[in-house]
Amino acid sequence: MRSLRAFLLRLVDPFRRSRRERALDEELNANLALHIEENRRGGMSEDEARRVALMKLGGLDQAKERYRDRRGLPVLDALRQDIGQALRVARGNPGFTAVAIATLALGIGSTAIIYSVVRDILLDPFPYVHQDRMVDVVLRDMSTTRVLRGALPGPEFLDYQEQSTSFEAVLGTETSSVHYVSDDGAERMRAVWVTPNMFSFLGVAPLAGRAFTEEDGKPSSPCVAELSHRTWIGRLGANPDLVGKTVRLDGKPCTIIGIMPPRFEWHVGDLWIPSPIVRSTSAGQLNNRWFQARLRPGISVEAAEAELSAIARRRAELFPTEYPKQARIDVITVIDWVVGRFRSVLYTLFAAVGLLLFIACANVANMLLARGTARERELLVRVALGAGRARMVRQLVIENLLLAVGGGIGGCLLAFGGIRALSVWMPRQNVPWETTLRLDTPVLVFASATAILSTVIFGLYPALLGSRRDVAEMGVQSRGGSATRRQARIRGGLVVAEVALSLILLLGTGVLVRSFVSLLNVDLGFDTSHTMLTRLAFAPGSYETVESRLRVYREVLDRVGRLPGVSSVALSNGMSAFGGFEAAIAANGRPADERPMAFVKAVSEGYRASIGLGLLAGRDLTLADLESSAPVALVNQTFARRYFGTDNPLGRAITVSTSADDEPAFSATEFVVVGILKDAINDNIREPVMPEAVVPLSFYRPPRVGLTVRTTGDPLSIAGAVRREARAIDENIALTPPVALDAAVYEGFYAQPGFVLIVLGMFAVTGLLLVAVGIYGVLAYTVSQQTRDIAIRLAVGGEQGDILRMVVTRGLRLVGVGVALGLFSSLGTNRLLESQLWHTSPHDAVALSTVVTLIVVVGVLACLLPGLRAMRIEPMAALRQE
Amino acid sequence: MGKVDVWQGTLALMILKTVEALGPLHGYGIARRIEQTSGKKLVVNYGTLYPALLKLEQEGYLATEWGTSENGRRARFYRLTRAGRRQVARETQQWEEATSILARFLSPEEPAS
Repeated sequence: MRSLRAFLLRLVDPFRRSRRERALDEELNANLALHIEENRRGGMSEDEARRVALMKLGGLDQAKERYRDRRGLPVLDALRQDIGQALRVARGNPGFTAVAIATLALGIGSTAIIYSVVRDILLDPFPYVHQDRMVDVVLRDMSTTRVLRGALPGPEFLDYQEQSTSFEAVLGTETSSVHYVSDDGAERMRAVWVTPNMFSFLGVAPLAGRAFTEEDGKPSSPCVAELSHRTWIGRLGANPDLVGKTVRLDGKPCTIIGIMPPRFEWHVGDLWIPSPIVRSTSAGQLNNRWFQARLRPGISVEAAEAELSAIARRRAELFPTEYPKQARIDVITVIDWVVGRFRSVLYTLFAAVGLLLFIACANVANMLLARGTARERELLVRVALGAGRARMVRQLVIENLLLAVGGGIGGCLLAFGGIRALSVWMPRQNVPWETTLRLDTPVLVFASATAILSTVIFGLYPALLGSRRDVAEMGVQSRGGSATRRQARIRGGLVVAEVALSLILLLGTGVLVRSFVSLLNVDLGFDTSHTMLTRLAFAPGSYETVESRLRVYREVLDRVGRLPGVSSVALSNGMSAFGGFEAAIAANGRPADERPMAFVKAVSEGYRASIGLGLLAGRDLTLADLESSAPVALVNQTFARRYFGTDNPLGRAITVSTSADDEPAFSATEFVVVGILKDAINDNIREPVMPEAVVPLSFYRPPRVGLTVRTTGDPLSIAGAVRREARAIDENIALTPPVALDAAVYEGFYAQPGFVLIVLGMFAVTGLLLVAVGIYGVLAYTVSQQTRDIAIRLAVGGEQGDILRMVVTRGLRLVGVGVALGLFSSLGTNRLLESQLWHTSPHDAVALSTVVTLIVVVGVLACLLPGLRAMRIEPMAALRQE
Repeated sequence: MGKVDVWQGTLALMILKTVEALGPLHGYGIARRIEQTSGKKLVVNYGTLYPALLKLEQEGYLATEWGTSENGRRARFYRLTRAGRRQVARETQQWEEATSILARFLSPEEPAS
């Protein structure tokens, strides 16, 4: 206890040093005065008395020094000195310090960022229980890998559920859009119908209100719904009184019984409504459910798939039409389902950032080795002056720790900032809605520890080397000893590794750039500029007759078309440019094919003009076609090729058969082709164009239509006016938030590859810069080591050009070995990128040659600077200095 | 036998005992008193005395306050705390035990058993 008290007092001593120092002076002076006085009383002279007293004190300063040692902790004082010294060293060479800290910060920060992203998207994205055992079950077409059937009809769903033993729990989900009318007007909400076991399946409790039960799901029970937090905050004004209120969904009353917590985004609903599955084929669309289940512990995805496949085979014998022969049951984890190809993207970035961390550490190691050797002389002098070995090692550790801590702090700042930036900027496509990006602390610690360890180890290397040798030996060998040669080998090796890793990064980026350029060069076939898209939905029960529906379509077209700044307007089923009905087509004497099907789109007369599709032959749809009862169609080139071959389709009939589930049904099935459209992307930019037929909207009159508006100015500036016109026709018409077509296309097709490209590109450029610094550092150091040799060569008539060549050759040899190693490794690593490439080989020659040229040019530049310095050495001045 | 330096372990007890006997005292007074008590056989080095005083103060056995010395100068006076008083008693007892044990080894007429 007592000694602890003393220790604490000594610990805090540095903070009250000056006051204590004055007190000590005073005390010792008082002591001296008393002593002198007594000596005087004993009969000594003034001088004699003082002399004797001072002698007795045993040296004033020694007494003070011993007192100070007791007062504070000597170890602490030494530490303070070391840190002060380390700070002076750091300040004395600001360039070195800045580069080392920045390098470490980049390595630490980017590793922490990318790992956090991987964790929040791939490893732990959902707030649900047992997410690692959650799977989707779908029927997939093996020949095209497309999903044949996602939402399964009730009987099929129940057969899989009841006859299987692989699952602990099964949840059936289907979504649909419902009309929601409030005082603020009409809106569409995304309603999610789930089996009543949702709460136990997902393990999430409502934030407010109560969870629904089996009882709530019974057909006799009144409709109840849980509200999403996002919708509650964003669209319903976060009104706490909403729980218990009854709202009207598609005109029917439904009571809000609870609000779900944030991040609860099951099927990205606005509302969740309990509804069990029934064994009936005629229970409507909402009885078709996505089959999502929790595997029993220990059951693999493959085992579940085998079991369900066996059940499906039994069903296929009873219901052969439900199972085309290429159909196969696919069990896939929910995370894989959501993330898809983005998984390999993230792992690519993760690997890249690992390489970057390695380059950063190698580079700092290299810089420290160079500095350590350059400081050998300083260390030598200090040892000669009597500095203890331990104290010197400690000094070096502290110097390097200071760098590492600086880098660590920088890395943390970078990581915090980077995560913020990413959570705004990262495309949400293929990212679970539940994901929120948070910084992962363990990985930040891991990355910092890696960087700090490598810094300290390599920073200490010269000191350990030095402490193995005698001071005398050090003096003799301070130039070109065997240890220096070993260091040169290590440093050369580090540079080679850096060049190789950087080349791998650059090559990866290179092929991604090539792939992105080919994506950019895809001719969409339509014009994305100045185009606004939205969807209109009529309230259920309104405009039920053919005449009234056609009249309201016409009114929308007329009113929006008259707005200033609108050059063209059109209605279509679904969003323009993409999708449409999938329909089987019979044409040219061939019966209707099963798959692949064609897209059929029902549009108003201005459709072609408003998204800028090209017409190759025949004529466009006109107002007359919409008012006539004669069914006509436009087809695209792919359609013409597939169904008519080399024949001219103009004037020929095609038969469209859509699925029985589609409502409303087409009021005609046979259409006469009157025009041929130029092919345009209609599915996905990476997929070939699908055959497409475009028919007048009057033959298919959906209650929800896409509205395409081509404007002369900024497309979104017209959004408010369009909404006002729609409300003026009928305030119960709901509009989805308008988007600009070019932005939507970018989001859909370019945002994700662009994101990967930019992140990987930043890593690659950073890597390249680090390599340049690394090469420069090694050569600059070599030149300074060989100043005497070079000076002698120059003095005895050596050519300056030879000196330059010697230095550059040495650097380029390292670069050459690194490039060779990098090229060899990239044969394997670039293959990992294959899934992200589009129309680009992973070993693309242009990317390869560009990258190699780039790295050699950077290498030459990095060699040139120390080479030129070597060339300009003044022989006499240099030799005198030695 | 010439003059000897005081060694650390015993110096602490001597200081405490001196302050106990004389009441609050400054460093110089403590040194003089120890030298006198030892019959001038001990020399108290100030380089040893002041760190020892500081240690006792840090351990809480002594408290200090500024006062006026007999020649009218400001000086630091050392005073025994309650913990210091207990420590004197404890140390004295330990010391006595230690010396009596040692004395038995040193006395020549002690029969070997």
